Amino acid sequence: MTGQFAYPPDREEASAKKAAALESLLIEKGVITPQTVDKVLAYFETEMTPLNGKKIVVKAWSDPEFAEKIVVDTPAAIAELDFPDGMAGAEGEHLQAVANTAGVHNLVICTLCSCFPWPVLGLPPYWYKDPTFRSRAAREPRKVLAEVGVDLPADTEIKVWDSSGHSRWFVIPERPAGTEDFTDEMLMDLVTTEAMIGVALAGQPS
Amino acid sequence: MRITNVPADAHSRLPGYLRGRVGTVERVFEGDYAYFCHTGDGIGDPMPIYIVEFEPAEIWGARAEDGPLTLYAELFEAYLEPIEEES
Repeated sequence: MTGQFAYPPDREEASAKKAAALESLLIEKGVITPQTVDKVLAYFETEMTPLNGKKIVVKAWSDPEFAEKIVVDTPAAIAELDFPDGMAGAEGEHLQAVANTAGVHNLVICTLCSCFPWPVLGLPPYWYKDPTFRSRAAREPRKVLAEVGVDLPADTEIKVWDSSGHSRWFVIPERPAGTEDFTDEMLMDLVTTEAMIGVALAGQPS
Repeated sequence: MRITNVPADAHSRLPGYLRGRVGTVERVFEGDYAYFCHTGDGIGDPMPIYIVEFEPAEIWGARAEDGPLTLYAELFEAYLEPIEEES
C-alpha cells in the first residue's frame, strides 16, 4: 500500500471541526437555521431507524412470498409495508436486499466512504466509516468476520457488496434455529443493525 | 470488463483497488443514472450502472484470502472498458 491511501490519525477530530465550521458558516450566511441540522438528525434518529429494517427482516422470515420479492425488487416489497413517507428518498432511492442462506453469507461495505441504507438502518455506525474496517473488509472479510465473532464454515461463500454506485444494500440474515414459536416482537429483538450489515448473525449479541 | 484507470479527480465513485482489474458483469440496472455532479473522471451525465463481479485473486493476487469469496461492486459505465473474451 502506498501513501495514496494514507490518512491522518486525527481525521475524526479534524472532520468534526470542519463540519462544525461549515454548519456555523451556513447559519451565518442564512442558508440554514441553527435548528436545521439537529432537526434533520432527529428525523433520522426517530423515523428512519433499524426498527424499519427489523420489521422487513421479520416479515421476510415469516412470509416466503415476501422473502422472495424483497431480494428481487426491494423498493416494491417495502412499499407493501406500512412505513413512514420518505422511505424511498434520502439515501433510500435504490434499496437492495441480499439474503443469507445456508451456504452464503453477505457483507455490505462502502470502501469509498459511507453509503448506507438510512431508511432501513438509520445513520451509519462510526466503525462502518473507518478506513481500516473498509479496506480490511474488502481484502480479508473472512478474517474480519471471525474477529467480530462470525465464525463461518470454511465452505460458506462470502459475498462482499461494495456500495460504490447508487444502491444502498442491506442483509436479510438467516432466521436462527429454534425460533419457530417466537412472536414478531421476540424475532425483532434478534435482528441487529450489525446483522443487517452482515458483521453479525441474527440472535448474536453484538 | 476491465476497470478503467482514469486520472483521479477531486471526487470519484471508482474504488481505487479496482482500477485496472478485470471483472464480469453480473447485472445491469434498468435505466440510466446521473450523478449529482460531474466528477471529472467521467460520471455525471445519465448512464447505465452495472454490478461487476470480481474474483479475489484478480484483485489481491497471491495475498487473496482463502475460501469461497466473491466481491461485487456497483460501477457507472464510464468506469468500464469491454475486453475480448478469451476463447
